[in-house]
Amino acid sequence: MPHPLHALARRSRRLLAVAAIFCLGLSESGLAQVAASATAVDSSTATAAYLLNFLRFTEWPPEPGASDIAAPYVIGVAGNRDLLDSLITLVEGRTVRGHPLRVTRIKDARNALGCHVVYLEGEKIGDDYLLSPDEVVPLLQGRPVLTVSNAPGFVARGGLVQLFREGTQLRFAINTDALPATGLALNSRLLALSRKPPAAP
Amino acid sequence: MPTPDSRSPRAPTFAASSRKTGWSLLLFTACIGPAGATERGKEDLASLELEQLVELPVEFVSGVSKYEQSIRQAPASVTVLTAADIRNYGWRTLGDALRSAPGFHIRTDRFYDYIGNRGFTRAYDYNSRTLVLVNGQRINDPIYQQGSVGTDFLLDPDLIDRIEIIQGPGSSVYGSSAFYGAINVIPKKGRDLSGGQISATFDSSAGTKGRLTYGDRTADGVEYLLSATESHTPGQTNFPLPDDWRASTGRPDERISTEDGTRQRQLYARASWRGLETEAAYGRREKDVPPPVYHTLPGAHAADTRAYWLARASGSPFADATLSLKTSVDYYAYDGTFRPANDYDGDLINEFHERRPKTRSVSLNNEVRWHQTSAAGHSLLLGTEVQNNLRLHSSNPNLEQPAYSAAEINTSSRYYSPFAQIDYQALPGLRLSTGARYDDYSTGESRLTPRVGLIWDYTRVTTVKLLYGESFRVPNLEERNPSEPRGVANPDLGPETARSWELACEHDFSKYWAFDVRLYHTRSDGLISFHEPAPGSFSYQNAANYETRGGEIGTTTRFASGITTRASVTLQKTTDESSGADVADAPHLLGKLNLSVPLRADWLRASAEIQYVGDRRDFTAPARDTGDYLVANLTVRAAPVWRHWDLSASIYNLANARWYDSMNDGQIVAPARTVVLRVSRDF
Repeated sequence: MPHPLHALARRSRRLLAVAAIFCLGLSESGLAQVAASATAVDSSTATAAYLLNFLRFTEWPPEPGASDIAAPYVIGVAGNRDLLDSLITLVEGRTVRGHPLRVTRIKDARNALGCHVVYLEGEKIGDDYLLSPDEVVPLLQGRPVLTVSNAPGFVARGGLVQLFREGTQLRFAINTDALPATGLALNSRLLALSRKPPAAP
Repeated sequence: MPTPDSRSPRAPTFAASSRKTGWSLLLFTACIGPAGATERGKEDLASLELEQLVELPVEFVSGVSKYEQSIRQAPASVTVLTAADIRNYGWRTLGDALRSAPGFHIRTDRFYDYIGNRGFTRAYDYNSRTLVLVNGQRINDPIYQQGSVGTDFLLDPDLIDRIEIIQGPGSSVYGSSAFYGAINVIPKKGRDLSGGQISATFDSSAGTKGRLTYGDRTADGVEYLLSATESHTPGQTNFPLPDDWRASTGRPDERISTEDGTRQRQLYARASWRGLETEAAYGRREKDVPPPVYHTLPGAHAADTRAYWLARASGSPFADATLSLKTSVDYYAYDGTFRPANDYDGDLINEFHERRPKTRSVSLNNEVRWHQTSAAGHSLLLGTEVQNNLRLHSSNPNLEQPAYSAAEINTSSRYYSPFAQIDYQALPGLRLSTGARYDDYSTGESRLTPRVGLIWDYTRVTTVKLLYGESFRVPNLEERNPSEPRGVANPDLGPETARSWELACEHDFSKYWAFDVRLYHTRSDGLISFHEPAPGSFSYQNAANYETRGGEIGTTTRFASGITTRASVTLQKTTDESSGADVADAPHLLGKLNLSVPLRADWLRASAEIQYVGDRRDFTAPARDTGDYLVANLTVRAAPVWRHWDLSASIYNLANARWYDSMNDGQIVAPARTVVLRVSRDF
């Protein structure tokens, strides 16, 4: 909860991220070496990069009657202001398959209905309001919304993608059982990298 | 210290200002690195193959590391308060937030709130010695140099994302008025709202406040926020009138005042797209002025209006460099209506003539800034600020005896200020920060103010800073040209100056517990003072030299259980060099405790603050004691409840403690217990 130190913490992560990105940017020897470098990015920056990639490797069913092919893809974020900031920086001026990207903070499960990707923070950070997966997931059942969260047991609770820590890496697990009902088509590269989620506590 | 006999409605404050933009932001983000590099990094991370992304090492630290280090690298002592603090502790004004900060004491005369920053306040100083900024935009006006932190501050506290309190001299970056410190208020952005918010506030004096805010960020990257606030508060309608007011007005039987009402209207808008940003703010506060303030008859009132519009552009013409341009227009207006007890026509007379002081200013400010960083951690900042005070108007007519009116002043002024700062990473963990600013005023003053900081941060657990800085303040319009018939302009009046040393040490005992110690010494020379050699004429002179010595210890804790605390104790002593005696309104001891406890996991929290302000003396001659006081405030907040609601209840002055604050001339009883309820809903 709110405390000056929390603001510091928030900044700290952003700063760390930018510092890391800065170092990445200096790496002339190509991206292949990025992974090998010891430079770490902070978790909100990594999560933002994941969300962008999930969007890239997911196809949404055509919306009936939708003719505007340039309608934006909407990424909704609940409970993590740092991620919101990282994501906004990351998607600035970028498009995916010709669609502009819109990042929005969501405070209500119903806001998630208008999103393509929804991220639910699983850990209380500062003053941010958390949205419970149990509130959001049932509402989105069978709808083409890619739900992502780092909440423990998210996949077991019906969510589609769970992010979790594995050593020093951030990994993800895909709920392949729930996918067909949503109409979402996930690229095989994404599915191939999916891991088994840790057992919920 | 003598005070103007005529109790000139709203006597002094200051003229001519400088301004600096976004500088503290720069201080804090100095090591964030150049935008160019960020762009490249962002490009790389976004184009990272999925297979590489899963192998990328991730830093899972969510504690207090890097940003605090960047604060630690700033060549100043900094306290940061957040939007969550504002809601949890129920702070109604910027002044309420400052009361909880180490080293501050705030007094109020129910007209304005006055900042005591590291030692003392002065009579007829409307916060001209502390710079107030919104997003780097100077709020201290060019007439009185008034830094508003009360209900006359132009931004609704609900819209504040962060308050950065920078203690110590700041003239090397901000110029005039950053004499003892600077307060930078960072407003919320569209992303913080991502929708609308409606809010209502009710207080125990039957006051109400309403606010409507909407903000979001579009797919095109346009981020915007719009907000409007209106409030009406009767205030305390039964506070006792002091004896000296009854004596000076010849009204011994009037004992109770009902004049404490406040009416506020505030508008705020901002929009940004890529490197372009525009922001507009408007705030108008009408205040019923309690009779003791200028010893006026009941019915006195005054309106303060402030507005600004600014546009900023920033980009990276070269790698590792950021170029920023800013232009802004500022407007300030003050209109008062008073019937002061005393007027002067060779002798003091008690005729209660109606006075209508009026001031206006319109200023244009431009700034260009170049920030260059290197991979080795060095950084260079170069910039120039130019301000044109296109219109400065001051008048103080006596409607009943025009002969006793002050001369009307219509003038203009400008200043030109180049500045530079070099941060040199001498060794890993050892940083030398040197900066200076040269201010050249069309009114004749010029001043070079340096600042040097040596910052040792090798372990990232302990930081030691040794800081030296100078600061100055140019005389304001009132001090140059007193708005009284008997006031005499002093052609020799120059800037007042201060030199300050500070040794600060910050240490993290664990990720939950941080501790800091600060020792400081400030010498203030030629403080501009009211000088009345004989009845019938007065002037302002660079007369007083003060010496301040102080030390403070502070601690912050943040436990995993959600309990947070912040506490500080300040010991300080300010003496007048000529007499060797303590100065007025300078408490030796300040103590602060803030404690916030979650009662129900994620939605219910109780937050309490306790503040002690030691013995003080008022500004009258001979000085009288105002005593010490202990005050406690309690806020219980439920959020979020029923999905969208944020509810809170606050009790200020829980024990209904009764104490007195100094006024320019006399004493006034501090506000009694007040209860406030707040409701806000997101949509």
